[in-house]
Amino acid sequence: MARRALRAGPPIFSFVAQTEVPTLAAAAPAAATSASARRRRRMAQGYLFLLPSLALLATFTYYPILTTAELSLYRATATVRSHAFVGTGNYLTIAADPIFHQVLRNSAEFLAGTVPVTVALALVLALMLNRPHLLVTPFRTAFFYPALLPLIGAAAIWLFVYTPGYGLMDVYLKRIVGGGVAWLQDPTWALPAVMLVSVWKNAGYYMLFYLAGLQTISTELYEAARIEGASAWQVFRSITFPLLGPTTLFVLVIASINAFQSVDQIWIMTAGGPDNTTNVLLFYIYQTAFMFFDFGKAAALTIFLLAVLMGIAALSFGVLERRIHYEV
Amino acid sequence: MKRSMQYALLLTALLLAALSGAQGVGAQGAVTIRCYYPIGVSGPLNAVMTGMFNEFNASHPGIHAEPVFAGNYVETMAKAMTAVLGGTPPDLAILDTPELYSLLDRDAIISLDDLVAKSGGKAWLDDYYGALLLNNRSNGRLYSIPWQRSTPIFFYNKDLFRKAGLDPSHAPKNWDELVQDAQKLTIRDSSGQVTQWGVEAPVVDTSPWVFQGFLIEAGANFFDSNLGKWVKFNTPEAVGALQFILDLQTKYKVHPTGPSSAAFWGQVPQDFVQQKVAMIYTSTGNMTFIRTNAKFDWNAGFMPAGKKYGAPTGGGSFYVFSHTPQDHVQAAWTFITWMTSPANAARWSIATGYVPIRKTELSTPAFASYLQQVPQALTATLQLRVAGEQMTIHDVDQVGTMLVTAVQAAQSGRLTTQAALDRAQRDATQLLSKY
Repeated sequence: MARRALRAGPPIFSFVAQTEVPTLAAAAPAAATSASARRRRRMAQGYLFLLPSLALLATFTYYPILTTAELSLYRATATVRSHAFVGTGNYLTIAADPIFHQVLRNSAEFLAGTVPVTVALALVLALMLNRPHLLVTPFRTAFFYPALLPLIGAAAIWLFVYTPGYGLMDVYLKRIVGGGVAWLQDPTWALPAVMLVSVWKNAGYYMLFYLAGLQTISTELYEAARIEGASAWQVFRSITFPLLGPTTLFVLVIASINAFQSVDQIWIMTAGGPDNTTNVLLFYIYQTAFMFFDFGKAAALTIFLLAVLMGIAALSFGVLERRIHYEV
Repeated sequence: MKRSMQYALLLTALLLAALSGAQGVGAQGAVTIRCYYPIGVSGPLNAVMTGMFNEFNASHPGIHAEPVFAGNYVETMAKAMTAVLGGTPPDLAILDTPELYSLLDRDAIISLDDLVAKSGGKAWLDDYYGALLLNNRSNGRLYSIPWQRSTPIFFYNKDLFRKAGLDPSHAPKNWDELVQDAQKLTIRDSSGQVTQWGVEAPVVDTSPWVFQGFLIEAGANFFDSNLGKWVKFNTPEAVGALQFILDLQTKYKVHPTGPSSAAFWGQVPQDFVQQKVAMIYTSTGNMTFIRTNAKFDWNAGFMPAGKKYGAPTGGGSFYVFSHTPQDHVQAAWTFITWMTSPANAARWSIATGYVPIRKTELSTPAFASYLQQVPQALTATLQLRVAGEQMTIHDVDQVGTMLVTAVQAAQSGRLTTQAALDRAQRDATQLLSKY
């Protein structure tokens, strides 16, 4: 019972549940035919239902991945007319590229700095806004609002917030600790400044998943805890947080993938600078492909990014999921 | 019933997809030419551009020119290059002028010498400002016609000059005067916090544009202007130019510290109209912004001279793409000559703040009356006489980024000026070795 409730929580699981429905419904009128024919038909039907998404995935995901993998083996810049096969040449180039090493450090810092903070903040916001109160709706709206803004627009606003001298950040900090930091131009502060935008933008969005997750926890458990005289912290530690496990996993995965996809605000706010201190993997790929037109190197970088993302997905859904799911 | 409706929906979707894939067909019998164009400065320029296209089409029944807005310069170049690689180039495009070699290396553009010869040859071309044609040529051949061109100039706040006891009638003439004036114009409060900076120079943004002005003024011969095959970033002159910028920041303390960037580029004109800074370097394209927002007396001047006066040019030019049918080339040329005719070019300059591209443009009635309202608009044109060439080389974007990061590394104290420029030189030489 509790398990099913958990599974229905995040959208990715409910999607799995939906696709099962037609197969069950179709089984009834087929009673007259033989078992094997029925199975064949059911299989065919299954593939038929898969076909649209399979066609879309093949066209826009699998085929591009294959061509990118192929391209990564060629010296292919816009300025050479025919592509020359170089084998692992592009991979060796990026392995020896000092900018790529800096980009990796930046991406790791971005991941480590944004994901835990954003997810923790989302959980806190959800817990605070899960009780019935007059102000809950306006607060939920306010916290979710950044998720509705296009990142490009949000970045333009933050650009002004960070302006030294008369930007909001500097004006208010000056009153407290003294201002004068050029947030986006200081090699130490530029990356944290860009990361803050990411936290601000995503915390409200992940809060929604947690709010949905909280709805699925049976109130009977809380009633039982109250009867037993459990403290608020005990309730959180023993009921709320464990039962939110699948939601936390889902949000962690989404947040990690998001961290690698953050590029818009970097494009607007720092263009990877100063001196590549805010250059992250996806931005470096964009730069290499569409500013420097070195498609072979960009393809190799893309395959690397793909491997990282698949690693995250495999880790989460393979290892962590097994540990998190259990019956109550 | 339900199923048939699903099929109908699917069919409609397929039909729509097929239709949207089909190319638009121009007016009956007219040659349709597609022109990619970027918008590089703020303002309602899309409307001005589309208006000019419409007017051209109305007055040229045999040609249909189709405007394709493609974003900023970087995005437009990316789209044009992708189209070239996909085998469907546009007929013509306005692209950042220094992209010359990136386009040539791909065999993407044609030389315009034959077309110029038919339109009046040297006499016709001589009406364009020579400085604006410097980086439109490679190996003696002309590849683009100037359109939305700019140059960095110097703006100063005359009110603040008066307050500081300086002569507001002219800008500092050279780097020494710049330092002296900036020291008088930098104001600190009792706690030592700067409330007004002397000068702000956004030397690098996404490209090392304004920095090239300092290089030219320092007498640095920093790139191969004939074939675009080499750079010299670490000469004593270049190191001296970078050191001067660092001195403004750390020795004289008249310029905010830290590396210049795209954000700083956007902030500088804001700082100027907010009177947080007394003197700035920025594009002549920002003059309209300053004119409408400054609530004080201001003036424009040349970039103060180092060993000599100098500034790079900037902005976009018309390129005609190769593998374009002959009648399309002719139509594209008709369009370019119409757009850059003195009256039309003047209209564009006034609407945007870009520099006039032709000498006869200045005597058009529209521009003459504009100059009466905004006499400062002439400063950039006068500075063109001493302007140098903007770095136009192979792989210009990547080499430019190397110079940008080097300047930022020096400004943030991560590397010395010499070490930073040595790094840029080493990386650039390695990259350019294949040409």
